[in-house]
Amino acid sequence: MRTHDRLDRAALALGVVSIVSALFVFVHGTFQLVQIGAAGLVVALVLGLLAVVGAWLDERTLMIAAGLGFLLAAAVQLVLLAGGSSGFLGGTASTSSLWLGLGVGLIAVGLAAVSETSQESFEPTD
Amino acid sequence: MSLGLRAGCGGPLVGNCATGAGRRAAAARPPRDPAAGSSPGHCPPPRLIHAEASPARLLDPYGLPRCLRDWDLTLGNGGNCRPHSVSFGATWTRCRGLIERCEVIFMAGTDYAPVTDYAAPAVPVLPSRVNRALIAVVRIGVGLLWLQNAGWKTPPDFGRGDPPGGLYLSASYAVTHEVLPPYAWLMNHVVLPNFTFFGWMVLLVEASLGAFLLIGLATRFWAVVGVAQTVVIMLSVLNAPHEWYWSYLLMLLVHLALFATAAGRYAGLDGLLRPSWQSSRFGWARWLVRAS
Repeated sequence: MRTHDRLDRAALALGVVSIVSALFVFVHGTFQLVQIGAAGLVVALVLGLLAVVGAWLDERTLMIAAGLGFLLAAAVQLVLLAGGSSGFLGGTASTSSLWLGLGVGLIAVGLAAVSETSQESFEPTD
Repeated sequence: MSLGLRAGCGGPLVGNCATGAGRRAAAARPPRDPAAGSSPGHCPPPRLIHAEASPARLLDPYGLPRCLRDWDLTLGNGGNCRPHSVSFGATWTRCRGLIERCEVIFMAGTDYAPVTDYAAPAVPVLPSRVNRALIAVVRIGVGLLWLQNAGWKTPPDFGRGDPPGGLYLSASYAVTHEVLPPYAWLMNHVVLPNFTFFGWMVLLVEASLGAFLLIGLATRFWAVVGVAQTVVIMLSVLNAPHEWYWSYLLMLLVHLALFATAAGRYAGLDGLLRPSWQSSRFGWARWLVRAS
């Protein structure tokens, strides 16, 4: 598999994780791994879709934009928590943690300076 | 453009074996034939013309060096690209019962690439696909553990109040249900009086643990951080009521397992990005190679 494809797949997976995490709006109790409010739902869906589209179109800029968006959302959520409430995003530090991971991951994938032709496996046959 | 080499030793017919011994190998910058006037990008993939190993000078049934210390390889591209010789040192252990082979991967734009037991993707730590998947599941599960437990660390007071709760109450167990006297003294005189700062530190460390273990980035580094954080938690709550000390020992052990298996290389970003880090000359890339 070409490295380029693997990077796209990684970005796709991160975007899908974000979209799937929106389902935690309906989960409460023990298995509520992250708490997501209404605005947080929009963040998860919009940025997740942005990452998926970036992966689909092989557009690094979109991946990085989605990653920066997640990092910004994570930071805003922490600032809101420091104020003593979940704020308009309706999340907790778990939400920040998830968005931190997605943001760092998407930026790392987007910035990966990998040339498709830079590596070739060589197996002598004679 | 220069060429770098990454070499691995594995069994071509019956699977790979871990043989890297942790040495570095540096490949000489291959000469270009100015008369040929062709760019390296137009050269076909290089082929092995001659291989010589010293001091053992052993060749396997494929005519490739095995169990060697120093390799002298002559490589050629055919066409207008003249052959060139490459010498580098490597130490490999013998793979009993397996046929060894030499695998050379050309990496454009690098003068050399480190060859260590963690550097060659041809030598996976976990040869079994099922085992790799299971280790990925363990890593993601541990990431979710930290991620979810970051949620009950609630700034700005982190539970400090009357009555105390949350993180402050857990931390105060280090004093009220002492595990290690010096640690209890530290908590009582340094941490608890300045709990806002230390509460934020705990929150950031645990949120980062969840984030990075979940995506498998710098996993070995974060596994070590996880070990340290688990030890801190143990020293606080091990003697607290209704605590099962094995749960913390299991946390400790699972982080050791993540470190030992380099779990981020399986379905994680470490496995995806390591080749580019290995071929990079930047210090942060070398650090990431070690941290992954």
